[in-house]
Amino acid sequence: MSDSEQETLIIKEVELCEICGLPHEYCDWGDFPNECSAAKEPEQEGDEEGEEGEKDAESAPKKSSKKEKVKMASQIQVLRSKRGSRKFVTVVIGLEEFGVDLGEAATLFRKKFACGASTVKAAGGEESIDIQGDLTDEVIELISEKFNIDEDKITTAEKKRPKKAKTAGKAPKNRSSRGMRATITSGMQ
Amino acid sequence: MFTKFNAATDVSKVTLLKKSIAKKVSNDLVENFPLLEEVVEELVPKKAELEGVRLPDNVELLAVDKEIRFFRWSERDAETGEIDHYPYVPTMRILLKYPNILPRFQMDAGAIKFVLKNQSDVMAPGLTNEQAHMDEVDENTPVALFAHGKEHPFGIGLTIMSSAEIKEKNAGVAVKLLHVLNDGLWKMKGI
Ligand SMILES: [Zn+2]
Repeated sequence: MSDSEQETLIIKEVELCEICGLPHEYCDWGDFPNECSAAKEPEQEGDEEGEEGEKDAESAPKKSSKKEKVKMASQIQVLRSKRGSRKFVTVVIGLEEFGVDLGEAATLFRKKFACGASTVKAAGGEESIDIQGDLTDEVIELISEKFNIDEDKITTAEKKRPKKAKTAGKAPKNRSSRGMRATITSGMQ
Repeated sequence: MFTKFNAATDVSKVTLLKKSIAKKVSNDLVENFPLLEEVVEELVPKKAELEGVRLPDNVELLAVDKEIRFFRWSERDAETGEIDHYPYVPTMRILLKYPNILPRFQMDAGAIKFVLKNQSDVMAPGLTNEQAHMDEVDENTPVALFAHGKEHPFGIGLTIMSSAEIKEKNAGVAVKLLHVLNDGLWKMKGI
């Protein structure tokens, strides 16, 4: 167990389409795109709790995604995330709640810090910005200055991942913002 | 790699491997994909029946208790004439379950159809724009292919250039496509 390996294994059970056999979000590129979308329309759900985000991504947005939006409103999270032995990523979550266009913000970060920055969309519709490098402080400063946002609206946390996170509840926050809704299970199916 | 592959006609040989191979395969997997450490015993149990499946073009699959979990290939080095064996790489079914075991290469949404439908290699500009992201890697590294706006990976590729070079040149083939959803290997569920 070396200290430099902080990244935790993500384990998912991906639901595959019964018609084309691909993950639902890729049905369009499967063998039966028309049949798949026809079958999806009348679909009713209710058998899952944790996977609403996944459903929302592939069909029209539903109430649940709105709820989620309200829940995370008026808070920006700037997180430092270590990606294995490969450097840090700074993750910004919630900027859009302040009326900021995420694409424009990513461009601003790229120019200002001369580094990679891109928007990452999660299944539930939440979008975050990933910035290459440990730029937490600089990002907070820039955000509050440029977009006129109070610094106390911005929270930050070190995202050190314990090497053996065994429960789903411990799934790193920034991961879920990138759509990595981890279901931790054991065994192959 | 598996674009034209058809499991029904193209499997040339299935060999039962010695039990002792499991240990070596596990070690190699953990060395190349360290995050697999905590589940490697499930993926390649010591007592499992391991089979090597020979395919055309020097491609080989590893089946664990009849389920295909890894693939590898070998190439003749153009200069030295020696055969290079590449290490085992997880299949898409394994990658979907463990999506962060390979470095992440995310392309813009528009690139999906080229890679997924046409099974083309990944061009550099698809990886350098605003929607894209690359973990820092060297050339010749297996990477997981993601697309902007999608949750799950959809392919596995091998970098032709390092991520730094891809950014710098921003032209040409950046990642050779190895395996993608809905290709011949994806459709071959077991042996
Ligand atoms: Zn489908």
